[in-house]
Amino acid sequence: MPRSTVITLLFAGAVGTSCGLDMPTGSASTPSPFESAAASRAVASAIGRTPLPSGFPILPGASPVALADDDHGLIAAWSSDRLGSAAYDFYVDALPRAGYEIVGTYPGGDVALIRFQVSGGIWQVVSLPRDGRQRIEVRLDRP
Amino acid sequence: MSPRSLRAAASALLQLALVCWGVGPAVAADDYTLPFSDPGVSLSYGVDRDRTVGRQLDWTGQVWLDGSPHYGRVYDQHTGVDYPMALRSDVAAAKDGTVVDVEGGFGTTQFGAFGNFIRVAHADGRQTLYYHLASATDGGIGAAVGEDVAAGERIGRSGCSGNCSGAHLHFELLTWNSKTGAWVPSDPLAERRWTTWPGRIAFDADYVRESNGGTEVIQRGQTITHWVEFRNSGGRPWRNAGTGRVELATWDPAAHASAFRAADWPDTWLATYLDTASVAPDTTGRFTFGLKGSPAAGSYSESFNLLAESVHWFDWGRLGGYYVPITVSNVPHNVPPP
Repeated sequence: MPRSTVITLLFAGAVGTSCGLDMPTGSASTPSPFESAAASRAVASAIGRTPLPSGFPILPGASPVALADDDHGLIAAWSSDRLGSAAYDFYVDALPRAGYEIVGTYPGGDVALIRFQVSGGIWQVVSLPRDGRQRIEVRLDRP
Repeated sequence: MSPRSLRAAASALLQLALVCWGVGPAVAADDYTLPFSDPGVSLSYGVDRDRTVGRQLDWTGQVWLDGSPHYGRVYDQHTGVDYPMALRSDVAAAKDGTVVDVEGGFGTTQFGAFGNFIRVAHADGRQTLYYHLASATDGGIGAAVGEDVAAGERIGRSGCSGNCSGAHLHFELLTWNSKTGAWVPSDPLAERRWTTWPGRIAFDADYVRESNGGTEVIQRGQTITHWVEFRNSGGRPWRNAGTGRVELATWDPAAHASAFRAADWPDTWLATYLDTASVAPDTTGRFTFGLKGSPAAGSYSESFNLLAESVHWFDWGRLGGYYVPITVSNVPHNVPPP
């Protein structure tokens, strides 16, 4: 007799941290998140790139890197000396906290990828080793 | 939709795509099982079957020329199959075999090199590798060199040791290349070597029906025959002999001595084996056993669960929490009152 039916980024990470998207590094002062996001939107708009929303979580200690002009799906990129799963673990936690619903997680050896919902579509966070450091990208979804 | 349900949907689509691309069940070898038993685990990345840098051939037969990661398919130069698994999740042997190598000295999340692993040799001449396991001191290594392991048996726990960008199991199926004298990774997904696919665990069952769905009334000292049928909803065939033999045993607590043991029970806690030699996935198997009215007159119940011998118990909840209500009577059943 069947007894029963089957039962069966820290916001603070962005605060005080420069988004720095598409911007050269080495600024003498760290802009506020609002100023940084506004600047990134202006630069992104100038080259037709999708801007990163203000307040988007950033792995603490990660440095923004220049984006290739021919990669229009790339929204932002950083480099970190925290190799391994630190970036993936950070974004699995931080994206939902920042209001982004994760729709798929794909950890791996050399690559970890998180797909998440933004208004109007799906984006990806991609974490992978590059030149002895960990590269973190935010980009438009691709198969 | 939750990540898990999305993964399940993606898994189903990938399976459908596999069939559509002509490498479907008709050519399945079906001789290895998934190296875990959690039905929520799905595929992150498969083997890159093209060794050219920047050019990927995924398990569905699609070629990618961009060198980019493609979730659910492949990333460049990948030699195994990656499954997302939370740290310290159970990892199971994919086939009967013997452990030939282990490493457990890396930290559970220590980055760099191979990390912790278990290597198992199989009778078909192949070997399987389970990478990025938790440290030995963290329970990551559950079998020793020389130890025989059965398909579906837990051999360790997952981690993120070695070259790992997020907690997962990296599984490799290795084939010996006699020309080069080296082990080379092959693609179990493209070869359809799984007896089960993401979303389907090795041993699982659903309740179907039984000889008496109500209360069994047994005259004290007498024995009645009872049978129950379960659908094999797992990924492996059920057998009634050898390692992994499927048995019906007492439950709640597991393997307790039953007061209703009849003469046909193999043991005090073991009611019976599967009636037939084998039951394929998606078909129904019957278990027939006696119940003896040994206790004093009164109302009782006896719970049962399925067990894959030397592997693991089934999920009792999936069996509907199976039990038999029993009334032991001092008078013969169905005798009209005077």
